Amino acid sequence: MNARLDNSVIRACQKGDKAALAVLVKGYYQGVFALCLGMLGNVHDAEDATQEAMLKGLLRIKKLKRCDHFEWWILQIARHHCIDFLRRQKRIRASGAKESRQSGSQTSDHDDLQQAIRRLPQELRVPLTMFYFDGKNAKTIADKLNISHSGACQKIREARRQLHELLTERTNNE
Amino acid sequence: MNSDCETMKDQIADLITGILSDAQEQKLRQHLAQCVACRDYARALQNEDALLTEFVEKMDTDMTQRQERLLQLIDRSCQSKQIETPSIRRIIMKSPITKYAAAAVIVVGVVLTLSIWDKTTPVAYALEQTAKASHSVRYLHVKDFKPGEDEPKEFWLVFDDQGQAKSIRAHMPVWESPYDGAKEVVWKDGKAKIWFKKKKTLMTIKDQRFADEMSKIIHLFDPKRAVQRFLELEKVGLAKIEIDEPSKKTAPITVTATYSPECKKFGLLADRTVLYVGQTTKLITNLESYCLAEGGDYELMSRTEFYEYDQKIDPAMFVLDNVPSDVMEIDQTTQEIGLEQGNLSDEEIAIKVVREFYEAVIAKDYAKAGRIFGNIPASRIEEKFKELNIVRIISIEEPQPHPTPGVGGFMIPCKLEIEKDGIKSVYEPYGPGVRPVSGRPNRWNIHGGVEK
Repeated sequence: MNARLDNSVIRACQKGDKAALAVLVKGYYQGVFALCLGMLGNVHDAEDATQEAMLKGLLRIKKLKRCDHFEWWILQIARHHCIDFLRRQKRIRASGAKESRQSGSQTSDHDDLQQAIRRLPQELRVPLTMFYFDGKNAKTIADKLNISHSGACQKIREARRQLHELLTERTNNE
Repeated sequence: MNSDCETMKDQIADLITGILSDAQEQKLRQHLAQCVACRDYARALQNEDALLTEFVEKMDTDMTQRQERLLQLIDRSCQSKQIETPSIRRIIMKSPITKYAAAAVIVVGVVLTLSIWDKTTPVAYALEQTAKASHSVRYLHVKDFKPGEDEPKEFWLVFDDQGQAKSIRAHMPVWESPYDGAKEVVWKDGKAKIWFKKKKTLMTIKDQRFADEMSKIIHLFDPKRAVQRFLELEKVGLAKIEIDEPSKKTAPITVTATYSPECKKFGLLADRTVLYVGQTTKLITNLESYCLAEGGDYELMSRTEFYEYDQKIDPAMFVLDNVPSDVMEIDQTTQEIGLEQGNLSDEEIAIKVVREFYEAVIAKDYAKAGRIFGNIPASRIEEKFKELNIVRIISIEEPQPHPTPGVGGFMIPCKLEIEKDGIKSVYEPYGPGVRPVSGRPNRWNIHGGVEK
């Protein structure tokens, strides 16, 4: 959804309009999920984080003063939520708990892809996932991440390159 | 594979992701026609691209269900006043700290978990004494230092009988806003005068947003609120307070508040605040904010020094009378600025503002152009635009949300035809940025100022 077009939708949400809320959820859920996936590198964690961040944001939508900042605002909430999640994970790992891993040798292409995405550095993973979830528009990604267009292109290019290496390395090891 | 292939790899990635320019694509395709290795690489990336697209599509399919679930959750949360599951969010929404946070604009806001700290802090007798001592303060001079910067932000504050700030003078150094440069701000009677030294502009505004920003700053520097914040956070288990009262009476009492990590995600920037309190006066002399660094050390973020408690500040401090004569004065409280929005959408009025501005410049109606451009005087507009000699608007593109958070409004990309020495060329200005006039949301103008 184009952030410029939905100020009235956001205003309606602030007044408790359920239909508007559904429009907003549909419009932004994917973008928030893409960011969470990029930050966390794991689909299940990203799903949970998206739900929690969207819930938190939408329950506080009345506090949003500038409707035209909704997208930036909800992404910030999601970003902070992910940072907090990663911090908690780090603490759990430090205390000795083992990370759950997918077991079994039968993995699908999508599993391989997920594993490879997960191994990308976060700074490349975030633009890559957002790029693919956002209709491959580098300009939009640049705006959302507050980086230049060329910077966004460069990150996507590097992400693709590293992803290819990770996928090739996996294939060669099998 | 030859030596070109390494550079071509970047272009192949760009081609597959659709961000390669037409000229580069043609060159790349010529290379691909001759190079088997690069063709294989392109094919591999193409397959991965398809895999990524398929993966995203699959995620999208699953998303509808999750969106439904989210809507149900929101619905349930809105309908029920009862806590169905232990929702700490709601607990906190009812807590006094949330109310305080709203009032104090220190956004502690919605807190998810309570008490991770043992409430074994000593009795905060000194804190309460400090709260009492600072409550009656009417005048205050504050300096706020940032590590690595010599010049502090400086504030002179006058409070009314209820403890609310009624007059403020602020000096903002360049580091606080490199784009605007150093600023002098005077705020009283709900109006602000801001002297942008670099832009040689004195602006008068009456804007609730600005007033809110000012009160946010005051709340941060108001010593009685710092103490109150400590007490409130400790009460709900979100801060651990340690008080060190040295036996030597000339040494200050040190009050250290270490915040729970939960505070961070609600906007409390510091992980720890240290107050230095005079033993005799019980007033705060210094306030230091720290953040927790990687290695577990606390790093200083800012140091605030409090001076001249209750020493009457000369009323002349709250009048900007030392402004040079060549400064351009813009009074947005009395003059008609920008264009009326009427029934137009935000995007439509933003485009209209830009169109009418450039039409006025082309017609050499600099007075009108100035009114649209934040009420800049005609002479300044003429000075900036006459030489440019805009002859025609080629195009005005779709408004884009302003990229800088907090600025608001739009950037309107446009192309103009300019003529110099009989030669016409295309000029693409930066922005222009268009947004509602401060404090008058039904009027829109171009903002950003003009550097002299």
